Amino acid sequence: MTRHLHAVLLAGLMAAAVSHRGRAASPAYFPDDPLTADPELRDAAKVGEREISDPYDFLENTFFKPGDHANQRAVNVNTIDEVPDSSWFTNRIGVTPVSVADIGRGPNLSGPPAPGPWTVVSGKSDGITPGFTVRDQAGVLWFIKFDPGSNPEMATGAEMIATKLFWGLGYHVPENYLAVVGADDLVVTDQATIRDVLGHRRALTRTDVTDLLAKGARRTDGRYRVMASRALPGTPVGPFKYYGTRADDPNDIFPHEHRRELRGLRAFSAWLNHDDSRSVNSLDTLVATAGRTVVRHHLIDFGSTLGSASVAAQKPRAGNEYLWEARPTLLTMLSFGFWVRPWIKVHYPNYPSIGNLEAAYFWPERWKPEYPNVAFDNARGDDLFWAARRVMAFSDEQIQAAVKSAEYSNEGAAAYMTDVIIARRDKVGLQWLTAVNPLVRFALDAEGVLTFGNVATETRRASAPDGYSVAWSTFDNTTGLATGVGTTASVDTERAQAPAAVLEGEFVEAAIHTQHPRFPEWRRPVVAHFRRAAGGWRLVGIRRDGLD
Amino acid sequence: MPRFLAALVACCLLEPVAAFAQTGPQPAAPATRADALDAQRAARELALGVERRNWLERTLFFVEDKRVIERLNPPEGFYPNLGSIRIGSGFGYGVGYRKRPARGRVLVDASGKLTHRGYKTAQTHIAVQPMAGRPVEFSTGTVWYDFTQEDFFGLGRATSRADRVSYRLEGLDTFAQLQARKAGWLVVRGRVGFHRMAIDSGTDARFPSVAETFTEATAPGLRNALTLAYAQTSAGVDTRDQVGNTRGGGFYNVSMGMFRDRRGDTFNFNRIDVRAMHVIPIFDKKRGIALNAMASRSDPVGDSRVPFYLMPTVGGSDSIRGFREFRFRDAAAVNLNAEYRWEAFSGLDLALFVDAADVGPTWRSLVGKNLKTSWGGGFRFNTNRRVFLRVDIASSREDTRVWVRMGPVFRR
Repeated sequence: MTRHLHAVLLAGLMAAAVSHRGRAASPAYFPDDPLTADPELRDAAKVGEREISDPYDFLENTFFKPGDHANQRAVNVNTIDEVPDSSWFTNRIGVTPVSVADIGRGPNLSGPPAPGPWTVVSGKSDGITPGFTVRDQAGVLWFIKFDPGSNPEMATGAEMIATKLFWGLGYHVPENYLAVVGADDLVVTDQATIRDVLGHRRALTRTDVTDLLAKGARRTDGRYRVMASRALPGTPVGPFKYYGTRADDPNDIFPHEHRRELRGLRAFSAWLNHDDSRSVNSLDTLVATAGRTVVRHHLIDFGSTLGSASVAAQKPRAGNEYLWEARPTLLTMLSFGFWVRPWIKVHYPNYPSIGNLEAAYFWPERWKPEYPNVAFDNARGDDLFWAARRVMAFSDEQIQAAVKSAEYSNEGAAAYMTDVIIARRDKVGLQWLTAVNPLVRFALDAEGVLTFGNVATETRRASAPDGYSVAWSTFDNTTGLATGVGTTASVDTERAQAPAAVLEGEFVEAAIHTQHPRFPEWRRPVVAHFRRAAGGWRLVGIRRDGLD
Repeated sequence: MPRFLAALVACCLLEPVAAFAQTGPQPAAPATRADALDAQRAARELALGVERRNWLERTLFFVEDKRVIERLNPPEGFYPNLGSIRIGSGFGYGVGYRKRPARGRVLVDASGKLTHRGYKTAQTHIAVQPMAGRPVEFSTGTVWYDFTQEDFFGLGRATSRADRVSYRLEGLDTFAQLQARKAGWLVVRGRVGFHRMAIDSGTDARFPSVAETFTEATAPGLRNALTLAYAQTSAGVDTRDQVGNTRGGGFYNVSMGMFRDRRGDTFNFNRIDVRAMHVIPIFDKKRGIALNAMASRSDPVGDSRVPFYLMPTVGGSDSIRGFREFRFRDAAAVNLNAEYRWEAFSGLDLALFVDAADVGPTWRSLVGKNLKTSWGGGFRFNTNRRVFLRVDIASSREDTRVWVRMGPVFRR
């Protein structure tokens, strides 16, 4: 009984967010469940711009543990444990058809900068990477970034690949294009400005352009390979935080640390070594849609992904240890340095255009960003399972297409990058597809035949299980109570027949356990709820038990 | 749904159930998931706030936004001139002004500083770089200083801590210097100038003044103000990966100088300094062994003498760290350091070290002697490019010293 009551409470987490303040009882499942899109109907036009202090973000997340650290289910998932489309996320790979060409194109729908000289609007001489803001001949605003002189093609290549893959995963990202520019292609007008070291804005000169170009990797023809990032649509209002909600956004009702797409970002960041997955590399913009204004949340600046740290090759620490971490620090101090961090010994092939990236030592579970991230810390088995399914949904060909967009001049480097991303993908799948009972694609046909899939075995991350056991119940949508019917059925395949008695009501519950000698955690059931629909049954609920 | 209606529904939904029991019937539950979510958003819309920063974030944001750190060392204009003047001077405060005309190729700088121990300095200099499009820097300038509480323990290795006296050294150095760097690692430097110096009683009341304990025979130059014309040249090989936080490579330098007394032949002497410093990296430079060796000698010309305050010294934070700064002084000195460093995390290195050093009338006199030794450990707070704070704790048979310095070791 307790289990079934619990089932009701968890089955509609979005509803729970409402009901916790107390109101008239709600059904476990509404007629529109499962939602495929989060209806963010409130007008957010009054959201103001905010900036985040980079040092504060480090200090706060490293030493003060902000946000709600809780082992609770993600609060923005729908009743079938998926993330609805929203201002944060659009379901793509693994949910909608995504072709190899789609990944090769990624978010780039508008086309590259218009041919012809670029008019420099401003220069960026400080910060991690120097660059320009320019307008092309069509008047479109672009942010221009360079590769470091020590690593031609590295930062731009990493950014191209990561942009395509994060887009495929479902995030809102900028349109990023590779371009080649010479000093003569940059037109400096009287309106161009640059901030000096002290932050004073002054007129930008041709000398400034020359100085900024000198910091970038120069090609043998004297020109520069650059990353042209199209200005995001809408009005920028600053980055988002990985915890809490934005106080002035009426649509932002789910604490960010409990959003699945932010928790799952841990798996995606591990895959692509996005160690810089921090607030400062996000951007919210106000965009008009359907007669209202909403805040759209983007991931930006992928220069520090894969083997790149934007201005140099990635440090071996990146992805392996936080900037400050007590245990290894104390161990090193107290052992007089004779305790050696294991990642120090990792070998990286010498590809300047790749930087430092490998797949042999990489293990997803121990991957870390630059400093703690509460959303990543809160990621549970179901969040990471959700993410790993998307990672594993990328085919080798799609990954090749993403790497091809980086236009590496060294074919060996391109092949290495492809191989490493594929190998890291497989490790993500091995780690997180097997950590929970990996059953998916539940269906109950009109004759009461239940079918489902085992994504761990389908992706060859695990051998076939010994079998499955299915416990059938009827389900009362009003009270949330399930009543067992018959005995638990054991089956060898992903197929089971429901007893006739369970098919008489409006709702059916099937709790499926998986027996596998290597994965005892698969015995925790996945509970599926079906609702009678025209011509059969419709899946309305999925819950993975035993994670709380 | 009109906004007011949504807000009304939301308010009703969010009222405690107990309140409904007292005031009226329960409201209708939302009919759909979308309605339920919108009701929650409608309620939130009524209680929107503004994004606020706490005091720490405000402070850090101010520091970032106003470029407070950059303003401490701006490329041009007035700047605060903070820090010690020399070892033992205490912390100082002052102001400077610099300008970079000729599109930044020329640096004109003037500054002054006063420390809490009364040390004073003022300087102006002009530097031009590059010269003729090459990595050659020419600089010329004048430095005036007044070191009010310098320590002297007598000449030779057999001095006692109890012999400590205080003296004041005031001087004016006017110089011109040319420095060239070839192939990135060969550094050649030449410098000429006039250096006027005068000795007086020290202001440290805890110790007698130098003239009360020492004589011209035991402390040459004690009673003379002098003006030296000098010429120095040096050649060095610099393979350090980072000058401010060396984790690999080394610096090897030989410097020779001629100093001639402009008021007679009393203080004509030559000086030679040899230095070799090398860091052997271990494990991706996360650990390393730093070796440092220095040997200095000042040789009088004919019957001349070397002023005691221009003789080589050992002792202090860059030398033998278990002894006071300038603890031993004589015509010749050797200094050997070995330091094992390991990175605790990216912002902190730890170190264990041993130092050995000695002084004598000649280098030959030091051969076969038991060098004075000290040992200890330290912390180096750093960025990738530089050590910004160093704390060393060192012990010797004579003393235990704690050194806090704003910079790396072995800079001297």
